[in-house]
Amino acid sequence: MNIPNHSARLCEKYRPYLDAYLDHELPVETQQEIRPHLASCRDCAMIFESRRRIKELVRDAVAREDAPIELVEALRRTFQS
Amino acid sequence: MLLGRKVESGEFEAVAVPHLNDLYRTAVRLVRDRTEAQDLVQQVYMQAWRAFHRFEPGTNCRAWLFKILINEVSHYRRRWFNTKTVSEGEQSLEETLAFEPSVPEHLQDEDVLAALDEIPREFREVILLADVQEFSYKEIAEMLGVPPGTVMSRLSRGRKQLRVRLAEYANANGVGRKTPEENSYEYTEP
Repeated sequence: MNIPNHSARLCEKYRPYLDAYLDHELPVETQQEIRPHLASCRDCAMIFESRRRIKELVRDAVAREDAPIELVEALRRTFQS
Repeated sequence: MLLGRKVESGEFEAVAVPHLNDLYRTAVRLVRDRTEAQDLVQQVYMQAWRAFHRFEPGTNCRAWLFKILINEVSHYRRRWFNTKTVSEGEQSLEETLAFEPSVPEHLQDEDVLAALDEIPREFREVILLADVQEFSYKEIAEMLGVPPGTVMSRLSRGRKQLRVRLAEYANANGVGRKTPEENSYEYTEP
């Protein structure tokens, strides 16, 4: 039995779905299939963690900017008139 | 009549205005211009206000407003630019990426935003809607008028391009390191 090849086949099978797994967009049974692979495959786990972190960085960076007060006031004036 | 309009206006403000910051942030990143983003968001609210009588209370107001924003941005792009779609060069950039770079340490928000701004709009759009606004693939597909598989494919390719940009930053600053190979393991639309 060739364990590394078996593992590589699983990596090949699951990696295209890591983004959807990260977004909780996979059916429950597929998520349950991927979860143990991530727990046992260091490479896939590292890739997943890297993608999770980038998603977090993007969300935080974009969310840091609020709408300018003049826009808020302009809209308020529009709807109060 | 006046009373009815005031009540509607209050109702509109209550359900629509809480999404102002999210709409503005998304608009800024899509058009990369704060003045244009302000104009677009005002347009979104004016359109939403005019169509508010068709809005069903209890349905997803946020998704409705974002759909209007996406349409407004498309019109804006058509008015002022030749829309930048995925070029062969960019596709080649994705294909030649022979490794999945790890996230560099000490990334600043400006680095992340600069990397995001560099990727094509159709990819940036799905990243903003999925990663920042946390809409589901189905909701994004409805907003963009494309199948969910296309959303998944654009997201996968967009995130890959983002990793390339961040890796370039890492290489320039000597803070990156390689992680496992991933070529040919990406999701592609059937």
